[in-house]
Amino acid sequence: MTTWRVGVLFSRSGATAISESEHFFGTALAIEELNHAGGVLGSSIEPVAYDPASDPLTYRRYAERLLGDEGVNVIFGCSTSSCRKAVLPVVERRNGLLWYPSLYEGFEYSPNVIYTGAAPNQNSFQLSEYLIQNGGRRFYFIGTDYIYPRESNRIMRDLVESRNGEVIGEKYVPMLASDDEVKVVVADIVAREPDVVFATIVGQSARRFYRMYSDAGIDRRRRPVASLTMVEGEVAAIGAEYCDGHIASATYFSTLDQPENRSFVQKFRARFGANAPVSMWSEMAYSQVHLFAKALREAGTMETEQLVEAAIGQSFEAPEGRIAIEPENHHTWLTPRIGVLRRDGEFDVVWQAKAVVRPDPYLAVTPRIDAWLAH
Amino acid sequence: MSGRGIKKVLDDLRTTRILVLHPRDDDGDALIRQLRRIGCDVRAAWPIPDEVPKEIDLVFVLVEHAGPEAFPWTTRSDGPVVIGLVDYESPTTLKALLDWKAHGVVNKPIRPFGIMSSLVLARALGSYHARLEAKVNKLEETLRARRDVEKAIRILMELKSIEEGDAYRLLRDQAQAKRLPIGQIAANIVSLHETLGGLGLEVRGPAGAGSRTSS
Repeated sequence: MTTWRVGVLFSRSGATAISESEHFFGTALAIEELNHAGGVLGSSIEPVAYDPASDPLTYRRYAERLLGDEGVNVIFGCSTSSCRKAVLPVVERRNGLLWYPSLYEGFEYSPNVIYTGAAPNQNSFQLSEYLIQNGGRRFYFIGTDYIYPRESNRIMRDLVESRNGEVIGEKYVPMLASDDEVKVVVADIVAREPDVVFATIVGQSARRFYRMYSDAGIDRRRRPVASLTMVEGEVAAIGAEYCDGHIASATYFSTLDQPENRSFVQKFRARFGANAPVSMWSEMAYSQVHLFAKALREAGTMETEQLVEAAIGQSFEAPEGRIAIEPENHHTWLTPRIGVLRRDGEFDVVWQAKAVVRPDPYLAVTPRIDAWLAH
Repeated sequence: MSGRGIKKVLDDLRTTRILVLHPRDDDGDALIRQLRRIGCDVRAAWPIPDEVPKEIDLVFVLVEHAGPEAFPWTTRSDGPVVIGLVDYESPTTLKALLDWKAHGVVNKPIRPFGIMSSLVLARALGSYHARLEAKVNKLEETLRARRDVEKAIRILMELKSIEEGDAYRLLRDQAQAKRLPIGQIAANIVSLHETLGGLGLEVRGPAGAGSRTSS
């Protein structure tokens, strides 16, 4: 074998083009870096990339092509849950291996997937606790209408209500919502005056939503929007002046002051532009390629069972700190953090976990309610 | 969609005590590990034991050609809910699945996806089934008691030459005095009446000089 061929399946167009392009950049950066250093076991990694345009059916078609005609066995890909669900049966049937870098709602395990993004016990739990400890009682939920927002809201409602908080509204808009559809929800928020809005709205309609929220004159220091997805790249696209004061729960922020991250941010901007936003989307995509390379070095083959065997338990000094793949559920040990957005589009990290948190996708062992932010 | 209801689904899952009856191989391991991932309380055994602990709520059992006849625990009224694990969909296996009174089925080779749905459904159907069965038993009992009460009323009417309403009140007062269900008092009267009748000691009413039993 002259090269290690891998599939790269992130959308460069469509509703979630911004965050998925960041996945793409992170993936590309890691592959280039590895190849520059001589590849893996003497062979370079050769990416085969398609743009599935944020569409589940296109995702599925390209996954078929990659694992079929292209003869690839490993795919770095997918961001939204609907696209992952579309690709999953193909990956399982062809016994491929999908490396999935996005946070998602949990309640899934496939022997053919390595999940490197946060599970709910690594972002939702910490966010709800932070909001409640900071005086949030009356919550409002807005989401895009698909599985991730509905399931995240279910978990969030559970957490909020168990702490005597209240969900005073829960609204969903279509993936490609019109101005009017978003406007109705913003007007409802203005009327009801929640303490905090938990937003799982993604893609283009999210950008509309944050602008309208600002235009409606809502004081973001008093009534912030909290989310698991509105991070550096999206903020840059909206304009930080519309967003400062909002809150995000993520395992990575570009402002993290540690050597691995300083070097990552510097490399990323050297490659993609001095002002390129750096976020968890690119960071996790970057880190999972390195985890893959370590596993491949050990396994010496792209064959799924052996590669997975080598991957589980593998750890990496990522820009966000040490991460490791949990053998029991193929998800990843990560460090939860809460950030508050500044005027310059970067986040102040206002809280972070003392140690990496074990992934618990089925919320099976995570104690339901606890003082999550206690040190 | 109520958040509370969903929480209950998950909590129910986690308090379900599960026994996996499958050989210790890749499929057995895959199933057990997925159940643990979900957060279930799970144990395993093979071969299929003659008895399963009383506290087991649900078993996953490998359904092969043999039915459940050899295993007494399968006939217990408070026995566990059964989910069949099947290799084949041959008519013999399908028949065995019915014989096991399975409330769910999981196909082999084991895939993590789908196990939770089978579990939730089997658990719900199993407890619905058990509730219906308990209700039917109770109704049958009530029906039997009612028949006895009617018979006892007729006996008392004849013995004491009284009206139906009085006979009923008599019965009810007896039941209250003895702190027994009215159905049981009635059943006692009916069976005593039949026993004495069988001995040729025919019971007659007060017309027969007031004695309770006279030949």
